[in-house]
Amino acid sequence: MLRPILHSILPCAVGALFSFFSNALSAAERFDISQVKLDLVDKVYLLSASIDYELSDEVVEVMHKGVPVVVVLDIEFLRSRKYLWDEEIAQLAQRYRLEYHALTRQYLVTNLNSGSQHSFPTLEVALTLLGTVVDLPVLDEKLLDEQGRYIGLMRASVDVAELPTPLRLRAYFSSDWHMTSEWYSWTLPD
Amino acid sequence: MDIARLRRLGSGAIPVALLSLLLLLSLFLMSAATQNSEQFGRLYMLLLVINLAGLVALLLLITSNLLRLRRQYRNRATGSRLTVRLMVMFVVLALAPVSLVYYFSLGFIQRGIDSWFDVRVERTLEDALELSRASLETRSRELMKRTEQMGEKLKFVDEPSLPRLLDELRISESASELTLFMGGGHVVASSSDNPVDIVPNLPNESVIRQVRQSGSGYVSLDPLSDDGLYVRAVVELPAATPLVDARFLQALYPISDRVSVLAGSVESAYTQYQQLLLLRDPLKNSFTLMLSLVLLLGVLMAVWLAFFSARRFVTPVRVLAIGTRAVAAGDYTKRLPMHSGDELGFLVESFNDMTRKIGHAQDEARDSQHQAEQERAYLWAVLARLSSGVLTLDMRRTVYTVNVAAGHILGVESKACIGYELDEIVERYEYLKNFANVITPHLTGSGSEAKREGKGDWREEVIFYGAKGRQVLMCGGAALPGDGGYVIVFDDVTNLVQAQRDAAWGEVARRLAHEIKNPLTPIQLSAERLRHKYLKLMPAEDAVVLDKSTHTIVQQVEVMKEMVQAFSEYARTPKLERCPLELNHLIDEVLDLYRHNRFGVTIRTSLQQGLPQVSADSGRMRQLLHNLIKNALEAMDGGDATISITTRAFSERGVSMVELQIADNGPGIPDELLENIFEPYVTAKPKGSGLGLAIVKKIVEEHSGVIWAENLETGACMTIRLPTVQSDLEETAAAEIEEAEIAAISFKQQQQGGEKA
Repeated sequence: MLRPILHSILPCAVGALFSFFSNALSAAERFDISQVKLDLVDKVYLLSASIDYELSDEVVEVMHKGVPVVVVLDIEFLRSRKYLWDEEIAQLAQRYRLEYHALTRQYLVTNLNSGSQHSFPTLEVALTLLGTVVDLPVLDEKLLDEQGRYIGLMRASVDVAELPTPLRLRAYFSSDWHMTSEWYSWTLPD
Repeated sequence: MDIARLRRLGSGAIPVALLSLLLLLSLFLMSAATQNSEQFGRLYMLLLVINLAGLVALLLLITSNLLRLRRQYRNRATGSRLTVRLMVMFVVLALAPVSLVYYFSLGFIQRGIDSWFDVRVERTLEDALELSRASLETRSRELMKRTEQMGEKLKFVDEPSLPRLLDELRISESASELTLFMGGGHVVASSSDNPVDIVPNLPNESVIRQVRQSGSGYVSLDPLSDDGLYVRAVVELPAATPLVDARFLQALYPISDRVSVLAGSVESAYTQYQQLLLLRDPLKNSFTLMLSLVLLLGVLMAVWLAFFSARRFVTPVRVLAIGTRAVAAGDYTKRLPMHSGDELGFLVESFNDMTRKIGHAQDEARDSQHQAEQERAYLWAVLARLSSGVLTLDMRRTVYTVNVAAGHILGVESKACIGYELDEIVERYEYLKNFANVITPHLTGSGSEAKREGKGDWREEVIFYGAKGRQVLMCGGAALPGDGGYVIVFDDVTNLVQAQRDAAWGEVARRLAHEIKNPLTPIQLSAERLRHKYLKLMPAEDAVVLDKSTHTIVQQVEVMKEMVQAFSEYARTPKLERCPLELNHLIDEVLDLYRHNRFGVTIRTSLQQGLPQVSADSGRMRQLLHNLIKNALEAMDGGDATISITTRAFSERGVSMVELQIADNGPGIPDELLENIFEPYVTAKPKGSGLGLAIVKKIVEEHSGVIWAENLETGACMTIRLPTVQSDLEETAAAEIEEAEIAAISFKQQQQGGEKA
């Protein structure tokens, strides 16, 4: 009787808070945004970036068991204001689904925004492609004033909410699932 | 809305019902969610949070209730003990079955989920997947060979004719897409069975790198989500000259629908099973968590309801306890609120009825007590204004009441006597000994005994020498009914007795004068006439006899006249003219007459200076001194007779007095006469009227004084005590004060009586 309680209640209820706080405090930054470039082409800003994804063993294992992993690229643009908080002028989330196809032993990457899909023989290749963002239209030039100063923010993370329910609870409190990059920020205009 | 109402709302039945309903609803939703996995996913986290919040709220409620109960228990609040016992009972009753159900449910969940998994199913699925893979790989290898053959054909074809050749090859080899491209990804030529696809589906760089490095072709199965499975084959077409980059040919072959569907279903079954395997423990944990939540919710609800119902149950008991305490504290006006129509309600009603009746009885008792007090006050008022002294004693001879007149007559402070035994009072006021000796024999037996034995009232005369001098009291008494003690009523009849005696002696004197003195003159005249007429005629012998006889008659008549005169002197009661008098001064005046040593006597005086004045008739006092000194002189038979006169002032029990002592060095008074030396015609001397000391005593008594005689070693001594002027004044003042204190004394006694009751 005690064992199931220990297995369920303790990790969920007691350990939850502890691990949650320890995650928040000492989470290893597994994702890393190394460079972001913004080009103005036809009055639209196109974003190119290079992101280094490093998945934990548990995530890889879960993925190999057929559970898709959703990676989200959060991009925000804020207008910097002197006396008030920064105003959000644009925000978009680019979502990618990464899954393992057991029959063909291929890794499939699906862009959930566009629906396009690519398959890769190895995970490294898939992650490299996932980490290479080329000419992603993010911002209309009309939204920006000439005088204004703007801040661009970008972050890559694994969306735990997309996991199957039983896994989700564990994922919320497990450092293996707490995979995110720091907010990468740059100013506009350069 | 005030705080009390809020609190009542917080502990009432409505919030309990609401919260229970809410929690039950969330639990129902939760159980519904576990039935349907899709809903489960959507609601799980939300429900978890809601339920946890509910749990926390319940915990807080219970904790606050527990703290309150603990505080009440510590303060020994009414009903807290019963509440605790009920609480514990309810909780134990709720916990036992819930724990059992929880234990077995956990087992069911563990075994239920485990039963989904079977090693054979897992093995079979893996085998199926392997089979699919093997079959597809065979197919892939074939297609690879055909692609290599196509590559051979295309190796040396010119660029312009490539599109046409690619189309032909694609159709002949039943490929869906053929693309010829450079190493850098530049498409040389392409052919697709779908004209919409303008951009060919190129392999990624790693594939090209692999082909380039290995030198052989690359083949793989690609799952394209829309179009099912494809076989992707890439071969390198070596360049004709080293200057030109190598080209690559990629061919995409669709797998037939049937095979694709079969392989897809095998794949999805395998994946699902793998997922299930992966989720086995988390699923168990989720169910266990759910069950634990349900259990916790149930238990906490039960605990809270236990609190709630225990408090509701205990409320009438607590109210009763509070009411009982109020009654014990003497508050009979308390009415308890009715709560229910059950046995407890009946109890409360009976209690109310009881307190109402007790309250009535209490009121009646208070009324009668008030009446008794009034009667007592009335009695006291009457007693206070009575000229007779009234004294009551209880069975142990403790003084219970003394009225003002009694204190006045006995010369005691009535207030200071109440509550003391008779013996104690006699110790304090020794002169009351005589009084006590007279009444004590009558203070036996209770009123009822006295009635039974036929002993009724008694009357007796008491004479004692008190603060005011010699007093004659007429006492009467009786035992009070029941064990009420004794009542003694007495009047100061000193003056009355004196007046009666004076009147009696006056009557005697008048008669004597009339009956004796009147005939004396004719007797004397007759005797003188006989003598005068017959003495000359008689012979000498007879004349001698006659002369002698008549002489004797005349002489004796003379003596008789003197005697009658002295007696009428004694019996005469001239009106006293009292005025403040310096006793020393008077003594000096009187002694001047005796200082010429005519009597051969030495007179010593020891007079205290500044003696207080006495209220006295100076003529009578002069007579008193003469009589005493003369008496002393007569008592001493010559020799060196010495008379010493002493005066002093002293105060005894608040009464200021002057004392006068006249002592001689004679033989003293014979013991047999000492008792009644002051009575008329009692004398130790051969001559004298026998009235000297009687007159002295009369004068002393007229002045409210005391006189006694005693034999000292040197001789007889007479002591006189007279009250001073101030002492009289003080007495009247004291009487007035006492009167004012009557009310206070009576009040105190009522209180004592009340306490005894």
